[in-house]
Amino acid sequence: MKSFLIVAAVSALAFAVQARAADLTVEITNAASADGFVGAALYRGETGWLKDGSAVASLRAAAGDKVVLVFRNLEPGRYALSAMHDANGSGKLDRNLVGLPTERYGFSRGARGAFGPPAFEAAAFELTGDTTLTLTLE
Amino acid sequence: MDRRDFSRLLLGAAGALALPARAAEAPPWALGFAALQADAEPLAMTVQGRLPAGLRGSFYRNGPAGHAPGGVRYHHWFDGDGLMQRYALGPAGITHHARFVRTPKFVAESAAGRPLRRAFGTNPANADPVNTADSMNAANTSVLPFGGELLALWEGGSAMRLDAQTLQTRGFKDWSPETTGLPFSAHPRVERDGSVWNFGIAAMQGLLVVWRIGADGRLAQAVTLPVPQLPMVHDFAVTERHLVFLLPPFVFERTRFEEGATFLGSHEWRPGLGLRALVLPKDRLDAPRWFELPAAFVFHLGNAWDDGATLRLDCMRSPDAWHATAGLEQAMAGRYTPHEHARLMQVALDLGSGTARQVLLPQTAEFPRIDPAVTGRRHRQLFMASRIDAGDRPGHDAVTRLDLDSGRADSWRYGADVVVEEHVFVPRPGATREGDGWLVGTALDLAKRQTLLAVFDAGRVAAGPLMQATMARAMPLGLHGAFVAA
Repeated sequence: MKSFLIVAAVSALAFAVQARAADLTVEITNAASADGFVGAALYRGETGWLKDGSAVASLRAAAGDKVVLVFRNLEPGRYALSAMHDANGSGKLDRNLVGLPTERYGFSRGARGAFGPPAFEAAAFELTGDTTLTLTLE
Repeated sequence: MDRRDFSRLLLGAAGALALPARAAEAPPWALGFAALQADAEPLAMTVQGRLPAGLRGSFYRNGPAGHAPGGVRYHHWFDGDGLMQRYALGPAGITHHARFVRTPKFVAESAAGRPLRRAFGTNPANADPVNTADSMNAANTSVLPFGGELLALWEGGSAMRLDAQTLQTRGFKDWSPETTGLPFSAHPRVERDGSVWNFGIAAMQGLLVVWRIGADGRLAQAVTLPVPQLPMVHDFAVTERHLVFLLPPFVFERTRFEEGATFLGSHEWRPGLGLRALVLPKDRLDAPRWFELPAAFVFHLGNAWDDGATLRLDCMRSPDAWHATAGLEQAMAGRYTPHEHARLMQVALDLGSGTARQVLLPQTAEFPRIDPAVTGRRHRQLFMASRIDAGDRPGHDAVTRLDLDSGRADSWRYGADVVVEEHVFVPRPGATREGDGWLVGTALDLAKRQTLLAVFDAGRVAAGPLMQATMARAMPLGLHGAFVAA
């Protein structure tokens, strides 16, 4: 119940400062090559975390040593990012026969899972104003 | 300090070998489990006897040798970073050199100066989270000469490509996009036509991966099969028509691993499962046949063959996983407790009735090898490192050729002070008869603190080595080797 109250309070705060939309700049490094695209998807909570169609926004750009993506006019709040290098332009993270990713990927705050993606909280950050994050693909 | 102690110190420094802590109390055989700190530069060996004229090429041995990254000693023999050794046998003599495999793990830990990744049986403090098996890959178990280069093999991840001359690391072998990062075991079986079968245990997914590489060097097939209560499986064998696996009741528990246990410690001994045998027809990998034998642990199989409707194989059987777990941890700590060692066992699987039989033979041995010309067919000779009178220490003291028809053992005992490593059969050029060739292997002489290379006439092992080469340095004990003719 306590955590619910805190969440409610944070939401109220977010509402109160909605006018102050923020830009999130993401610098993504360590793509395996300059082939295909580097993309990132932004999520707002554990519920939709990494689920298709649940991202607040997703962006991509041609792959390179450093790819910069800018998510604009975001409501302040708690977010987490996933990023990947879609080297063959398939539109998805390629996986091997046992389901493990074979293209590079990464998460905000350098979060890593143990043989799986990290939890939302491990990658989550508070967006309170214009912010620049760096993310390293692995 | 007397002169003898001083010269030992010098030798130790030359070999850059660091003994475990409390070296003063360590038994002499702990030298075999000492951590190597650097690559071993080329060194000419001293040859006694005559190197057979037809035996020219390179003998390679892989094995864990980086037992203490950043000075932090691992707990299990199989944790250490892989060291590839090359003995070049040429007309001018024999030269040895060795180089650590530059896995991503080795590179990252060398840069950090401390262990960063989980290892097979040790979880270093503050280890990074692991999300792929290859981030733990130590490339430390065996070597497959393939397509003009070497593949340094581990058990749970990709093969690592090395230059066959310089031993420089080239990167993981990527057979296809669908197979990137899949486990490629340390015991591929090479068919007489040069094609390769292998398997892998994808422990986290509960899947057995089966690989077939064509004689052209390209991936021909890779499939996965769900296996209930998937255990640790180290080796398998092929016949003309089948693949055969022995599954010890040493079952991986994913939740244990996720809760922080080591990979080894995530396995549970469940003798109620027995030793399961899984037979897959080569042309029907989706049609498994299951058999059950009394519970046992098995690392290695010698060979398998189809005898009508019966599949016959030989393997090295331990009563339980004690050596794989406690025994090899004790060895790393310089301790030895007597416990029943692996013994040779013959198995018959009746494909008609579904029954399985086993016969335990008297040989206490490991590292079984055959003449590659009889892979998958009836073999009449089995070569092995054997334990005749090794005393209170781990490992083997002899090498043996067993005639499977007569049961007669043809052995050479190096002595209790010599720890015998795997010996491989090398066919004589133009050989047409099984067993016509040489047995080539290495051993660690504890008294002289030297690693030696020996060559036997494979048909007359008891006559002793035709040639023995020594060098003034000791290498940590290795695992599997291969010979590539020049």
